[in-house]
Amino acid sequence: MKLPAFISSHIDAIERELDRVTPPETARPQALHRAMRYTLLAPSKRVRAVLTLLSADVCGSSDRALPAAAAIELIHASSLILDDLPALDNAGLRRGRPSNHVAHGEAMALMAAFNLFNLAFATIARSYDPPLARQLTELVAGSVGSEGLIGGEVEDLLATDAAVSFEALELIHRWKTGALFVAAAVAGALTASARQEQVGALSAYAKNLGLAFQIIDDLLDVQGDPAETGKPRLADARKTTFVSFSGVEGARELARELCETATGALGIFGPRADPLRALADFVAGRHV
Amino acid sequence: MADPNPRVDELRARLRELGYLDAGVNRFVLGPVRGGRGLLSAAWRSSARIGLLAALLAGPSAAIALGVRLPGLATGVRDMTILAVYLGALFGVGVAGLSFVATILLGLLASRPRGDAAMQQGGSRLARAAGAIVAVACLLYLVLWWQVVNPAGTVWTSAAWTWPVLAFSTAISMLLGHAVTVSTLALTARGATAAWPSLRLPSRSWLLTAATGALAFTAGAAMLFLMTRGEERAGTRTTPVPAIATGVRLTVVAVDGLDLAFLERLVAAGRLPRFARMLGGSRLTLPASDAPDPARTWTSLATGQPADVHGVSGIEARTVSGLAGTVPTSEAPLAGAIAAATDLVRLTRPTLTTGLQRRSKTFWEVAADFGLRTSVVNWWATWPAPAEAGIVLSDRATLRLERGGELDAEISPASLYASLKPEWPALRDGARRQVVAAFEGTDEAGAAILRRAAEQDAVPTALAARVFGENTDLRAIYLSGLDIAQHDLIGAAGGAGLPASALADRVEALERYYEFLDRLVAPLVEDRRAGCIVALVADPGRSASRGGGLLALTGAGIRPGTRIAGSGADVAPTVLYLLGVPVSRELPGRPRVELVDESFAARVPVRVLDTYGRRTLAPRPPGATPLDAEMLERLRSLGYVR
Repeated sequence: MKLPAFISSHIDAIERELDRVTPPETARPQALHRAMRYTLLAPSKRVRAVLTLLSADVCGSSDRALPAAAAIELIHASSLILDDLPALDNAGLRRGRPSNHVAHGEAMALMAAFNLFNLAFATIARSYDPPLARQLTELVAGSVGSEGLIGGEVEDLLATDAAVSFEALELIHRWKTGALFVAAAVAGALTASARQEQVGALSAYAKNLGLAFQIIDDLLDVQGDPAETGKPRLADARKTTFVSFSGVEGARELARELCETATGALGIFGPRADPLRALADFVAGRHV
Repeated sequence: MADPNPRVDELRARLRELGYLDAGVNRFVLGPVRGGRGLLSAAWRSSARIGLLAALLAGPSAAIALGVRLPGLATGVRDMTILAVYLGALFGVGVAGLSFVATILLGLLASRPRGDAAMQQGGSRLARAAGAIVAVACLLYLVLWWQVVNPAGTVWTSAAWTWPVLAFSTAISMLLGHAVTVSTLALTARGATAAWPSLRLPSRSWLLTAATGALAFTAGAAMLFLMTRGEERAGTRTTPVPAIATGVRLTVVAVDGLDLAFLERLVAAGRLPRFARMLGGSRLTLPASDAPDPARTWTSLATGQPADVHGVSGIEARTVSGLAGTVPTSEAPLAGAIAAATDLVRLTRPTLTTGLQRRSKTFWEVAADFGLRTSVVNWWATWPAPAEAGIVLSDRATLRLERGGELDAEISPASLYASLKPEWPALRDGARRQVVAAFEGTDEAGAAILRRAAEQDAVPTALAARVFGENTDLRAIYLSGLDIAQHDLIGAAGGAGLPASALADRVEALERYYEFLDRLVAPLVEDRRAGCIVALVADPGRSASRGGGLLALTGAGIRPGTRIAGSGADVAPTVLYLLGVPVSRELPGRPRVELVDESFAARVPVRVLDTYGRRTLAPRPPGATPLDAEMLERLRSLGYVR
């Protein structure tokens, strides 16, 4: 599915910002910065960072949202490196290229991942005044911590090769994927000084969209084209996925309903939220 | 295309429990719980949202119910909307308060030391219990509300309304109960520092929801049935019962302020030959009315219903800010206090009661429904006059004739206004001349009072003489002058405090009024039409003597010399019985057949029917200007209102 034009322009802006905040490959230690940039600047749809910008837009203005969007993308890139490590998913292919640890070695991959995390918080601290910086730090840290990426990763790790209930699977995805989606949307809203109802609506949108995104990921794992998904088919074969519970057609239907619910939550914004609706359509229409 | 795969349906339900998909209500209610708010702040914000839900759901339905109960209150869509806002605020505050108490109590319980583990285990059950309590309270309140807003005995006769109302009440109650459960659960989790939203939301299985709904609906219906069992009568279906042609031509002369002791003394002295004639037949004595308010008393006599059923509780009513309609003013201390408080904040203002507040049909309206020809003049709360109920010269007819302008239901049929208008100056001046002549020679202070009161009787009587036709089956006229004269001359205290000589002068002036009245009613009493019956209906009015009232009958078919006691509620059914009209089971009184002779009783059996039906109000003409201010001024000058 072709990217809507406004998403492409947002992606360009985000990539310029990522390039700006990340040390150049020429700066010491070059090996670390190469490894960081290898994953961070690899071709990507930047769905989370785009969500931050669009959320800020719909709440008024995205003028101050770019550093927050970059921070979200830095966190995401870091989590991808860690997720692919031999001790975790042991994935050799990511974003159509060898995984970070394959290309740069495990030690450098670990260092790059930690420095990307570090850079995310530094970007927030440098870009915003204390009250907003504190709010954003707390938000992003929450999406990374025990009830976020890390907690989800641990639950996922323990669940591999084991029978997993539907609720346990949802918990893994909510923490591993949904938490950062919600943080991305809320961060955008916060930079635009959004009202509580707007934050609530965007949070509901992101929660539903996050799960839809994950279900479609599971479908892509079963049916997707590795050239497009950037990872081999059936890479998650040892894991229980939504497809295991609902079948391919059922998963597709649930993903569509979740995307519809996500767009339904945007009612309070009126037509201003059309780009967010287009983003949900884009997520729902990924090649599955 | 829908996937018939049952696994998907199950997964969909489980996702809803986990807060995905269409968790609209949950999301709305839980909005304030997220973020870094404290228990108190989150609880009241969340309860306010639940209150808003309640206001939006219950406000409009309560406004419709209240509009049915008080027909004069809402006169259009705008009134209904404002009423819905008021009632919505009332319900909203009530439900929000209830929800706040439930959520804060459980939230505090959960935040106790060692509450954490207990709440992890039992929090869900407690939250469900809180939701169930709120749902049951809402359902109980809505069912009671429906029972109260319906006049006695009409809950099940209007089953077409009652079933949807019950279903709607059940749905509202369950939704609000669910909202309270969700917010309580969230706040309990917050208090117990449990990982929200890892606590599962209540199941939304359709089977369970439908079963609970059916159970609640049945419980509501059973409660309504038990509460109204005594009021409902078996077989409330309405079967058409036609009137019997009795050949009676009935004239009802209603005299307010009539003191029976005074009357009998003057009759014995031979000074009141027409009253003597009216008292010569059979008599039903009535206890003193429950309140010395003419609008209430005479509407009760005309409808045969108590004030809480017919809706006219007094001369004064209250307008509610923003509404064109009015609410009755109750004499209960609590209602009085509420009225005073709402007056203070300008939410309500005193105004006059009119026929818009009256819910029950009068005896002339019932008679007209049965095809009889009726004429009524000057009775209380007859404005606005219905278009299809014979001739009605309402209590505002003389004001309209005097002021001119476009008719606003003061006179019915409208064509009568057109024919009366050119005759009005002559009619009025003739009545005034009659009044002036009647009290020549009385001392000036007393004469002024008597003339003012007498004009109130002479003008309607002149109008009655003009509009009462030969073939009219029922003619009724209300005369207020004696009550006004008595009230002004003797006072509400019965002359207490007046010097003996002054009192004697005033009593003499009052006697002259009785004599004037006796002459005035002569054309009505000396009715020579075949089958004519004259009914004198009297009430002591506002005098301090508070003696009883009277229904005295004379004429063809009346058993002379009968003296029985009864109640004011017997007047309307007795009048209708005399006209051959079946008597409704809804009336608390009964026709007093003891007053008629055997041949009449044999010819006209008492027949009953279930209901005369609801009174419907005709729409008011657009752009009409009701004479509210003029009416208020007149009643004020006559001493009825302050």
